[in-house]
Amino acid sequence: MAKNLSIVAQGISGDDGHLLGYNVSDNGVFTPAIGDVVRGTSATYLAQDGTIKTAPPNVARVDYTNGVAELLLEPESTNLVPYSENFSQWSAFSGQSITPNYAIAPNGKNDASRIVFSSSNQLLKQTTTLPINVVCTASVFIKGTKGETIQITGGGIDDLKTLSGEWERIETTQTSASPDIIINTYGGSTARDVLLWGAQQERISYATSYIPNIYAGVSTRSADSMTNFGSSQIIDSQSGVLLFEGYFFEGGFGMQSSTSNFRIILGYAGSNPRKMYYYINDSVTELISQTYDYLKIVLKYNNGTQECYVNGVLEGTSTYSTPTDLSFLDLSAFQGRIRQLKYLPYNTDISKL
Amino acid sequence: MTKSPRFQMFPEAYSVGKLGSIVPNTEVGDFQVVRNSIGTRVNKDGLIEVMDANVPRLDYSDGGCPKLLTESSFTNVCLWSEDFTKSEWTKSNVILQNGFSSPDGNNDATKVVISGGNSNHSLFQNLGSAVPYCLNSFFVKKAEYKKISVSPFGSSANRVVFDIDEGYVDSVIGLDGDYGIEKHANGWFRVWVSSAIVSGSTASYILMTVVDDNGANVFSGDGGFYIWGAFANTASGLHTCNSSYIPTNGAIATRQADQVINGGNSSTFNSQSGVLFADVKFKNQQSPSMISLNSGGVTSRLDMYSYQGNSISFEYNKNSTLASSILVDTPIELKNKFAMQWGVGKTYVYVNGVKYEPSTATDVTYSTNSLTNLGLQFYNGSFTLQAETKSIQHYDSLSDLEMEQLTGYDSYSDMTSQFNFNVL
Repeated sequence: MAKNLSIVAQGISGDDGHLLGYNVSDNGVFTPAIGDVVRGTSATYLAQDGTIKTAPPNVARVDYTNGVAELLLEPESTNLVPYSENFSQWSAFSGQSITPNYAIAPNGKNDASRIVFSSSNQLLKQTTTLPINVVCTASVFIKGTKGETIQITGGGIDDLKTLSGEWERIETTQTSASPDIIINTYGGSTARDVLLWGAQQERISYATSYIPNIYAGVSTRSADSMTNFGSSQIIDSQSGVLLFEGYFFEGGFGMQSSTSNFRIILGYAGSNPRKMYYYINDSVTELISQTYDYLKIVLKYNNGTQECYVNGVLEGTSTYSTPTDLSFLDLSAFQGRIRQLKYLPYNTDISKL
Repeated sequence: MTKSPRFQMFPEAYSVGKLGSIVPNTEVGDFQVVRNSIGTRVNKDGLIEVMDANVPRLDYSDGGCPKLLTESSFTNVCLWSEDFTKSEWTKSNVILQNGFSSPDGNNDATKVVISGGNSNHSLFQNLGSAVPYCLNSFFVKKAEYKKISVSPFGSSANRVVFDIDEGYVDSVIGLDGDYGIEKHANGWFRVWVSSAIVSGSTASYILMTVVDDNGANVFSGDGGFYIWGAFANTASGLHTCNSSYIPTNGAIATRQADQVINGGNSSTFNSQSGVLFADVKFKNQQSPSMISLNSGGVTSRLDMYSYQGNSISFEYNKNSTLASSILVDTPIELKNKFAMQWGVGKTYVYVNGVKYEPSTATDVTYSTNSLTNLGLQFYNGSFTLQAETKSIQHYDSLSDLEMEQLTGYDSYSDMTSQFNFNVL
């Protein structure tokens, strides 16, 4: 039986609770490696047609934010902004006009609001339940005139943004001094006529996928979890190549044993600075990369020799003994974007990866 | 794969009491079918259809080729499953309108319209005293409202909310049990909830409540949704999937188990070395669900079965003794293609293209003409197969490549199609 396992976002399929990975035999026969998908709530993603769509609970998301297919796995997050799509429920200065359902929004529906500021130093504000002195990220989808500027204020801190003329999501990450999210024309902002949709404020250091919060209160998206891909029949514990292409937010992934603590894990952990590492059983090797940007990582291992390349650069080596009974690929602790994740035979030419 | 099967059944030809096989193309190859009651299926048009007793049910729920639907005995304890105007149904702040197109193609669906102002809007039937486990199921279709909740013990703190517009489970609130939603033709969905008893319950119900778009079950408004085909069961144990629909008209009704038996004879099967293949999606797992090629008794048996877990057991019995066994973990709620091989140096199985061998290598062969009887149940009539079966086949001995090709797939898109998955 050929030992290999692939999870490739482009064209991947699944249903409620399942995602279809695969193995290909030496004879070209495909065999399924069906993993479990758990997310207790619906969640949004940018579909290939450019609109924001909603995936039902327990259905994996393939997101095209970066222009290519990527499996999106995110932590739990809560949108603290009431009436996140109804700006007529927000506080505004007199003289401003707010027209709900004015234009096509990023979800492809006529849900965008038109906001006309009659002058500088005006604002549109919603108060949230955000505590003070916590890391938060405010975001909103906006379309205005190219080159004009507008401020988004998250947690009480202003951030001036230049508009592209297309629908875009502006965001600001701050340590909160106020619970408000504000779109305003202070700070020399030049924009006066914009379309808005989908505001969000969350206690995370980056903007996660949009969480509709149509009414008062808050809305929570559960964390994504995927696990249980493959079997010992298609994973070689003693040797192989683990390939990852995508983005790491937090956590890690790897091959685990269902009967022991054996594992091979690639991941990120900690902060200030966060560190990238790989584990062979309980032995850890730290790597150099700390980026949230696009990564291609190759971990080549056999019993006694391991090499880890990040974007083509050798960042870690070790001489650990490898496990003996790995039986499934586990992504339950991973948060990020996956273009492809593969377990390949040891003799794979990694220079081509 | 070029090797010809000695036995091959795809569910196509049937008559009362008979399911035809393609190979052998004689009466020897036909299965005998027994079901001492009516049963329902989804027909080629996607409509619910009542099938007479002893008629095999070729089901088209997944579209494409039909699957043979076999189930255990099951009882609908809900009275008047299609007539919600009867007094057994309590209408709490709802009114009913009749005469809408239903999942069986007739104009016998009901529209449940909310009334009574700012209140809870429910339709329910009291099933009697509280029981340890209760299953509820309805066919529903959105109208002005697109969310409903189902709570078998009548508790708003223990229920499942379904989105019947997009067809998914919206939220699960305090439930100790299982649930699901199935898509049917013409905008209909079938929702089901199996619940363990809720503490403090004094009665069991079949109960649905209208939910507004904001998730509230107390509200005022107008409009409603469509309903048909209520189903309830209070037998012991949680259910991990639903039964096919069983209509009732004022009295409880039981669909008897499907028995598909006596396929082939001694000349059909290669007892010394061969392969038994099945393409099956298992259903309810409250009892073992089995395919067996045997000697007509306990002596010689090749048993493939699933029971309460994500695994399939393969057991080789010879001289009434377990000679070898293999247990394979696999998601049994999905379709699986599996093949069990016997013979000298050939005692192993393939599941979905992957080879599994017994922990101790054992050669299992049977004397000539000893395997005589293929059935979708245990040799003694118990453990009837509860599944959707696409194919059952038997071959002479196969090579590893042939086993791999028989149980594997041609491409990724082939797998996507056969598992009925969606490209995401």
